[in-house]
Amino acid sequence: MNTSHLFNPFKSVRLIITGTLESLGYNLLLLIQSARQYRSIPNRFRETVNQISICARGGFPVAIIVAIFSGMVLALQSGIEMARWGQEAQIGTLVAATMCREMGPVMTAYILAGLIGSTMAAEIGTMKVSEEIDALEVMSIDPISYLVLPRLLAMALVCPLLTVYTNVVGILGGGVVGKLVLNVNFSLYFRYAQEALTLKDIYSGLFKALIFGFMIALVGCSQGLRAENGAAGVGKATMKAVVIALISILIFDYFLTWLFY
Amino acid sequence: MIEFIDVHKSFNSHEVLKGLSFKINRGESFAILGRSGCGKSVTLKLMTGLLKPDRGQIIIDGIDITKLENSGLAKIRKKFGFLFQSGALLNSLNIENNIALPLREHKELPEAAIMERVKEVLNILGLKHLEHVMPAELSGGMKKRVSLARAIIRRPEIILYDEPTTGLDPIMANVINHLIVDLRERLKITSVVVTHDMKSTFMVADRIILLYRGQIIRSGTPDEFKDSPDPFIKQFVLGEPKGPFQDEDELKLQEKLTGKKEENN
Repeated sequence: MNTSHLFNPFKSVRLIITGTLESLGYNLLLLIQSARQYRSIPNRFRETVNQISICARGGFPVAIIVAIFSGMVLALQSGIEMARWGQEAQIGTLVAATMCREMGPVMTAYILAGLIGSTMAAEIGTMKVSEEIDALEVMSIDPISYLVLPRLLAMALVCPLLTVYTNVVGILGGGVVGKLVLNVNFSLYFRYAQEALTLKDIYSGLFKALIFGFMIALVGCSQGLRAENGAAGVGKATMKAVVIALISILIFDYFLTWLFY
Repeated sequence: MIEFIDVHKSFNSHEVLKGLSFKINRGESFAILGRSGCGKSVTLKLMTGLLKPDRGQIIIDGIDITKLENSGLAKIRKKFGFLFQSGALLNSLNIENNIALPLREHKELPEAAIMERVKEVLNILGLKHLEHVMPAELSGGMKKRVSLARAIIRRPEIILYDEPTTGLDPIMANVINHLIVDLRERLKITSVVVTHDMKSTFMVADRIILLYRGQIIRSGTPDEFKDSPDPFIKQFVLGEPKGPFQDEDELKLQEKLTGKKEENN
């Protein structure tokens, strides 16, 4: 009896493990190859600026909505509980620390993974299946220097910058809810927020954002470069770029938090 | 100038090239014929180092490129211009920037000289005043001509044409054929043309090889092919549905099924 169509959990686990290891190896190799191209950074200045503009324009409007509502939800949820103990003024502490340490960098990274990581995978994947990458290689143009390096640099810069902006907007959103719903005045809210934040909260969050930015671009580019089998392959690469980036962000977030605190 | 010695190439379990050997002389116009999936485009990619063979040697001007790393390959690739089947123009760049790209990237000329060279190749290929148009706005024939312009901008010694007339109307196909002949005569370059198009082959080639099941089954001049009573050549030249050629896709499917059967056993 042919049983090849039946679900085989051992085979599936084996495929997941080998696939993950292969993907990790490829990403690591791509990172090393990109680092080796550091001499070509001045030549890629124009394209890097172009990529910064694409990433910022794509991420900015979505980040504003997500950040403001995240800060508002955070303030509302914590404020309702704190009000029972008469501590609603403390929401400034909670919102500021949570935004800067965790929610700011992670949310920004999630937004950029969905918007920009997927775009990178789709764009480079389309170039791969339409032989544009082969054309670059035949012209002796290194696709890593030409395509990957500017994207890595752009995301490493945009992700922390957007995180700063997300943090600020999120804290403001929390302040609005504090004033309108919990009747905590702005000056008190911001005083608590300011007192709660240490330099470490800020730089650890920005360091996370830097790593996430690199990771999103690296995963997006590597999936694009490995796309094959036409439009379906590009779609698959795009989907994988987003899923891998989202999972990696969470895993790295845990270890980076553990490293800092 | 270009020599393949016993070159083998497989993808997964399917062996596409099975010991391919041939030699192309400087200035020659060499056509590679064969049915879809027989390894013609793979041969071109092996020639430029885009793919590595499993076995065998590929000699370009006395250097075995199968042993070269990226920097060595980059030097060898400067000798080549490549017209891809799809054109492979970078969609994010306009025509001028597409054509000028290899010169700008390698900083081979000052900007003024690059612009002059771009104008020159646009003139040769009848593409005047298209500098600022984006690739997406061009027809298939125009894209191929722009791609050809990009391929010759660095004045290569060898141009590889991957199905240059596929998907074009007969008039545009003829324009491309004339361009290939014209470029060969004007620039004295070696041409390697992969095609199914017999009219194009007879027009541009000095010598022809016919691939089947990853091997050369026939070779000769265009005149020898035109009048040949050989059943393989006759079937291919006349495009007859019945003859010694078997469908490559059918063969692949058979190999796959046989492989699966053996695996199950």
